Amino acid sequence: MDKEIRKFNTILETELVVKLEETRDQFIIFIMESYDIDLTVTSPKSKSDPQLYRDDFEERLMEFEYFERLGNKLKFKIPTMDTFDFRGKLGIVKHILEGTVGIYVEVSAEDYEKMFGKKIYTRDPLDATVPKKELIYIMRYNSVVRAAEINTFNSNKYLVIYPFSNTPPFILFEQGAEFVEDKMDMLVDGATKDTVKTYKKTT
Amino acid sequence: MSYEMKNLRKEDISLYFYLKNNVLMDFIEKEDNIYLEQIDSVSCSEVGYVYTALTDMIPSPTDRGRGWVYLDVCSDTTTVCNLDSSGNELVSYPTSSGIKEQSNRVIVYDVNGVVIDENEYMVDYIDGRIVTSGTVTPVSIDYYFNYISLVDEWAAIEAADPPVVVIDVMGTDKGGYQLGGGKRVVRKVDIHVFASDTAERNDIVETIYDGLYLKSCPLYDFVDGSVLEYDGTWYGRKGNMNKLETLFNPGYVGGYCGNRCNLQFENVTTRHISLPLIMTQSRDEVMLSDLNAYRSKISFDMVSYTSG
Repeated sequence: MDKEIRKFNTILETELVVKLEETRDQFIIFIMESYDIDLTVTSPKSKSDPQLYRDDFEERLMEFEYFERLGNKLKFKIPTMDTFDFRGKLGIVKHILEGTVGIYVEVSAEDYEKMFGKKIYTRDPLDATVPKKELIYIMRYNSVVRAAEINTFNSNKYLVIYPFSNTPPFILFEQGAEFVEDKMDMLVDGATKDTVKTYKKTT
Repeated sequence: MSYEMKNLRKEDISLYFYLKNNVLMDFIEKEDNIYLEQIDSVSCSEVGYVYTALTDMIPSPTDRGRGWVYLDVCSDTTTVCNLDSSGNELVSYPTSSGIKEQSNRVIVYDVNGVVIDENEYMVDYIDGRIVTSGTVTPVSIDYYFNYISLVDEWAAIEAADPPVVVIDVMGTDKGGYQLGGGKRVVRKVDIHVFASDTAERNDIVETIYDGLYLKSCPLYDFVDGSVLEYDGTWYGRKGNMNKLETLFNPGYVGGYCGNRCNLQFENVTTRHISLPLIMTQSRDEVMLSDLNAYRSKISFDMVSYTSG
């Protein structure tokens, strides 16, 4: 009897893993679709384009450890803002997803030097692959910066507004969690039925 | 066609009311002996004489989401309480008849430093103004104000200096909860905290978390609207200068849960938001504002039951 239960459990686990893997793949597609819809920049001048990091984000999404084995239990996890690996250049995506308060502009080191007559304060860039000359800095568009922009470039539209200025957080992973939750009941039902069928065939 | 506020709006306002007047009661500051200046451009005998408080307090007490405090508290507690003009606590009618406008949170003085009777003027709690009919001449004022700006839209965050707290009811999930009629309504709520420094952020987050964890708040009906009128004065005060006759009764939503329904807070979680920011020493050239630097988010489910 114990042997039969173990056999049934093994089949059930195999079925569940297959179905969970399918769900994981659907989850990744869902997240990437949301990414493409939500994180789109319409300003052609802006250099803060999340689409530049799309492939890296997708790759990191695939690398995420969705399964965790705890003794005889199998835990299915999906990434959250806390558990997803945003290290490196994906820090830019994290920054966008968390939402930003205030109006900001994209400033290059060269423009900064022209405006303020001194070198910009720098630290390691979020995206180390970008050449130093191409780097942009997100600066608060306050009265000092506005005045410097007009004085230096004779225009109040020279600097490009950071497209995610004053934008609330994007609930990408929360939507993904709901997507998975909605599928869970059906997934377990389906796995159980398939297991029963398979078990009957093998006995 | 008659129009009644929908449940989502009632729940949103009830949560706002609970946070502002219960949970965040510790974050109230006082300003003493502030001069009042008459605003000639809006003063006349028909509408009244308007005086504004000349304060240089930062954050401004009249920033969006702040305002002067319009409810009294009982002694040694942070519970909303009714007081008479002598400061005696009135515990007999706070919920059955309504809530009384504060009596000891805004004190107005004349030129001799004598307290002006509270029924002689109206208070605009949002803009920090005193409105009289001309029978008295206010000269200075003591008042309490809400230190934390509490707003319900992201776009309003920048309208006030930190600390700012934003309520964001971001989703709804309705489902059955019993055989027969009725629904269990779950609202997904995020509360975003924007503070001036780490210590302040931690204090605010802990206070809000404790105010929600394993707790609930009344679901008010607000049949007569909110506590304050559009112009910042107490509900009904323009038509009646007697505070004891202008009690505000929010009413309760009843139904399946009896006479008074509650909003239950479940799955309360909090996390700090650390963004990759650069801040230079000069505030003028700051790369990202400090408003984005000391952030936190409190997420929870707000649960209620309806018969519909």
